[in-house]
Amino acid sequence: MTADGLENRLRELRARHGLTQAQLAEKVGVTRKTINTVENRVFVPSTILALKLAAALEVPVEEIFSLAR
Amino acid sequence: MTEISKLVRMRNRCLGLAAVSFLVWQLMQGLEDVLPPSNATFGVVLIAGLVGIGGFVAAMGVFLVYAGKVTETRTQAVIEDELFAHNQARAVRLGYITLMVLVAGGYGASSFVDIPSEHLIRVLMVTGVCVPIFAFLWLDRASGEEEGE
Repeated sequence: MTADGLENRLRELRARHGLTQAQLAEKVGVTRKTINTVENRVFVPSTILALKLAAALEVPVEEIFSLAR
Repeated sequence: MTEISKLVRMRNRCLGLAAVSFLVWQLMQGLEDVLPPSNATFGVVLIAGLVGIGGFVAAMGVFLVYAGKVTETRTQAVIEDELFAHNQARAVRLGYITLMVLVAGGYGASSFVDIPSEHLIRVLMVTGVCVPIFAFLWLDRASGEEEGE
């Protein structure tokens, strides 16, 4: 699924935590490519992955993802 | 480069080798059926076909090594994550659509020209094997080019 209509602040929040894509990927159990495609709005993650990302970055999931206006 | 990236690269190279060598093997075998053995290029076709078979067998060998490493490092769940499943599904869909188009085209064309069923089956088999693999490799490559951390 492409990410039309879904905004995300994953890159910004990851940088705030001082994590590389590879480090964040390892924390949530996916490949770096998956993090890259989510950040670039190419791929919409599943609810489970979104929640894992939120937990890894210690923020509510809606702080990472929001509907595009 | 992380262990995961190395394994993903190994898998993709193995898939690429398998698809290319299968294509060469089948293409050469198809040519063998068409060319008369007295033709000057028959020897080249025969050797190229053997190279194709060799490449395919080598790819299967590499795949066994890859599978062993994935089991050993317990990384299958990470390597076959949801982006992998997404790309795999798209690649299989593209392969299916291509097959359907070829089947319809072949069926239609057979009304006008005589197409030997053996050749048609070979083309369909090569399409069914190679198109999803090439599509997956292209999708996977397009997924991770922008930031190489």
